[in-house]
Amino acid sequence: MAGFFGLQRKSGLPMNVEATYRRLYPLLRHHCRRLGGSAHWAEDVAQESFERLIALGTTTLDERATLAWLYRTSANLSIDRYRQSVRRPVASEDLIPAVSSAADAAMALRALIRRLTTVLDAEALQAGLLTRANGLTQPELAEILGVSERTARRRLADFDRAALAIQQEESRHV
Amino acid sequence: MSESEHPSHFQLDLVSLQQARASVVAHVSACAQCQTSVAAYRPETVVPSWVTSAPRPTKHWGWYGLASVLAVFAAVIVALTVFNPFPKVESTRVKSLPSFALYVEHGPDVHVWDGRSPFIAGDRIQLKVAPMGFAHLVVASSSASGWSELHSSAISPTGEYVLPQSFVVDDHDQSIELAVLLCDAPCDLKALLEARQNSQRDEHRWFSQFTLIRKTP
Repeated sequence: MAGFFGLQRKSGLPMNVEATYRRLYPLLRHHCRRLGGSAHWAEDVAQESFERLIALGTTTLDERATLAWLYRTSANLSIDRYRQSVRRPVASEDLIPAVSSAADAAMALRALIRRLTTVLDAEALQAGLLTRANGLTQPELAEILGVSERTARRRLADFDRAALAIQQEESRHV
Repeated sequence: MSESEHPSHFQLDLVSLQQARASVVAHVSACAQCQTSVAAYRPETVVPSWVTSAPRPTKHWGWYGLASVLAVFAAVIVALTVFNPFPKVESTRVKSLPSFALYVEHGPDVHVWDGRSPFIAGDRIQLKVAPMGFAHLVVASSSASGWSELHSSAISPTGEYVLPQSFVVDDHDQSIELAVLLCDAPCDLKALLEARQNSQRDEHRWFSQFTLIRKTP
């Protein structure tokens, strides 16, 4: 059976956690910022993602696979938080005004994901969030999700369809 | 990949890690915007306590290990069922080995033959059989003229069976061969001689032969 979320449990020397942290955590933190959250929010998601990696006890030395796993896991955690935020008042931390075009994009993506959490499943949300936040190609999305390109394409199409429907609805109100 | 089509953040991260494909590296080397993104990468210099003190998983069998053991066990059972290396015994009728006893009546004395002692002309012999599941009995003896059937009958598979007749040792031959065949189906002298050729002893036939030596008085 495959390991937890695609990373293999193998016998051998355990992953050097400290070295992995030094090299991958800065990239993970930036990725989490692109997922739409505030600095504090992104730090929380990045830390929880990395703690899960440590708990996994993987022995892989493949940084590419580890980074993909962190991308995917942090996207899942982000979606969980978006779902929770829909059910409760938005934390003031999430309402920091945008100060750059990148922040504008992040805020727009955050607003879109929050709306789509009520109409899309987690897989389509994950595909859309990862693609929009990182500008992924479909093969890259498939690699990060650990699925076939066809499956990745289908999930992304579901996301795009729902996003388009929301945009059309908003344009009618305007 | 044209200069206007920038690699994804994932690919740029891989460039920072020196894990990217050559085409991506070539794009970055020619793209100022991507170079800025990659150049911003700085590995962490300080490892916080939540990393160093995070509990590491302990090695244990867990459910995966247990499932693996059960899977191997099941595979062995299936393999033994499909490729049975132990041939099935078609009949379990014979629970123990048949046995024979020759009672010798010498004058007023009656005793069980020890398998070696010679006989004297005039001794009377009686055969007792414990068939242990066999249901038919054939007894024959050899002489100068060949084999002759002494007895043939169906018998009870259980308990002991004593031949209803006895045989008297004569003074014609120096030795007598006494052959006994137990069968799971009706059998005769021909079957006895066939079984004698290879001293057949299996779940279908059980052959035994005794050599009776006559001592000159």
